[in-house]
Amino acid sequence: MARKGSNPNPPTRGAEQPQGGGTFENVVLCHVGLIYQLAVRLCGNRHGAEDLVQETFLKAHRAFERFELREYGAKPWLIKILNHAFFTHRSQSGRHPSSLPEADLPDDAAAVEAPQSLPDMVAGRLNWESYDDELKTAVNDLPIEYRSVILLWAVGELGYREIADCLNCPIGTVMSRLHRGRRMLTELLAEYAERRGITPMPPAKSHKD
Amino acid sequence: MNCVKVARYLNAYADGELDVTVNLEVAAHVHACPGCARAVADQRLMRNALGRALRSEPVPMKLLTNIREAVTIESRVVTRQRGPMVRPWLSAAAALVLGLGLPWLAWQHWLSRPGSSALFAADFTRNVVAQHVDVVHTLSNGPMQTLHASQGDVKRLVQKLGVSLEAFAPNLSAVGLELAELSVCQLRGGERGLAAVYRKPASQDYLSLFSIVRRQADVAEASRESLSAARFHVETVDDTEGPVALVGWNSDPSVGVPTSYLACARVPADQLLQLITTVRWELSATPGNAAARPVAGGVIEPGHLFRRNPPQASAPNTQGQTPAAPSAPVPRPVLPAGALLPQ
Repeated sequence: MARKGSNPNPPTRGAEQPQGGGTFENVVLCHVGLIYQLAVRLCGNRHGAEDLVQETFLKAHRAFERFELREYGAKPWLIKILNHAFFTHRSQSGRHPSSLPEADLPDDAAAVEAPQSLPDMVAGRLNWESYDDELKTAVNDLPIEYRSVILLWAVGELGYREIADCLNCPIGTVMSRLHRGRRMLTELLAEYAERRGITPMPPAKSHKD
Repeated sequence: MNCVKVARYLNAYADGELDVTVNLEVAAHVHACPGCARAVADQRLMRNALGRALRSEPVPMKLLTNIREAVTIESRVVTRQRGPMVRPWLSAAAALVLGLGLPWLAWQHWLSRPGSSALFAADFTRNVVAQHVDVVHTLSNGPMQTLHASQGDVKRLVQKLGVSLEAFAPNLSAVGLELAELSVCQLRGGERGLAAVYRKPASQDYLSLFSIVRRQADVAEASRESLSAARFHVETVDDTEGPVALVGWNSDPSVGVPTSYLACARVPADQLLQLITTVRWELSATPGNAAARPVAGGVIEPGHLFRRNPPQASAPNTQGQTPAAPSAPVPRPVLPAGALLPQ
């Protein structure tokens, strides 16, 4: 497979510099803003997000003694704790993490990455700059399986392998959910645009073979 | 590469997830093909736009203050036990101790109502399961040692309570489990408990047994309750790695210190229940006389009611245990083949 399967290098974006023995305050608490943004999008409301963020940092504090700070920094670790806490609460409240018919979800990366018809993607015809509110609504409307992956990808700026580690799922699942999640988002946004009478930008020219 | 071949790599290319060789091939095509270049640019635009839009939530001013306060309060509530025995496992033990500190309110609520089901309230059991997962994670990533729980804090605790260690950490070698981790849970107010983690050798199967000792003030009230037929609390908690079964029960009031137990393992709940019949039997040794066990293997009936002395001619023994003989010694429960933690 052509992905960076065993790449030991840190992710290119958002990575922290290697640090010596930092304190909880400057290694962990500095990520509170990002963790809160993710929590709001996961929970869908601010109140639940605040509770979730507090729980995340309490758990991080408990585990901080054995946390080994590497060049990745504390961010992926914190995001993993956040996701773990969120999905645990979710299953406790009777909503199971897997609400989708998994049979429809090929977790095999090769199947997912099969050639797609690029002109079908409406993304290129949308002007993303003017869609902030619609993007938020569209992400909230995504099933949680896709929303969590999209959030870690776009907001957490994590690589595929880090996302797979955070969600404890195969990397193929991450790729398939990212692929479908993006597609759902573009379809939702196209619907919003149509409803608001916004004419999409001209379609991309078809590809040469 | 042409557009069709490149299409399968475009997403990963846009995200910088391709290895060098394929990356070069895809890049060569993308630079020459306006359509594919546009698709790559669109995906990057989408990621950036999502990141910008979804990071715009104003962070509440009090959030950071609240977190700092919560962390400080938790540190005060919990007294860490640091003894020679737990030193190699200090971090895991600290995690356990702290983990039992968080559901402080649920704990107090339960203590004030002995025998109530508050111990098995969702937030309490969730935390117990989370601690099981955390400790197992730590144990499975570090060198495995078998601890000798005959010194330090654990020894002092059992001496103070006047019970044997087996009341908290029974010998489970009969079901192929060895003790891997043992730590004292000391909460504010004098309540004590013990967390024992068992491991099946040469596997990644773990069983956590949390023993929670009741306060003396509650003993009288507890003794008035009819606990002769203990009702098991059984639940399965899904964490991101899969389901974790949790079984809770109260000790036989006629044996030792009134204690509540919580067991967790990443196995189906019915398998854990099978295992608990043995755990419960091993726990029921009276001090100084391990042979005289008042607790039989018994059967687990629908509704998770544990019946101690089933009649010889009782209806179908669904779990397959040997029915208990009416007189001592009570036989060790026999587990059906395949009922143990899977290899």
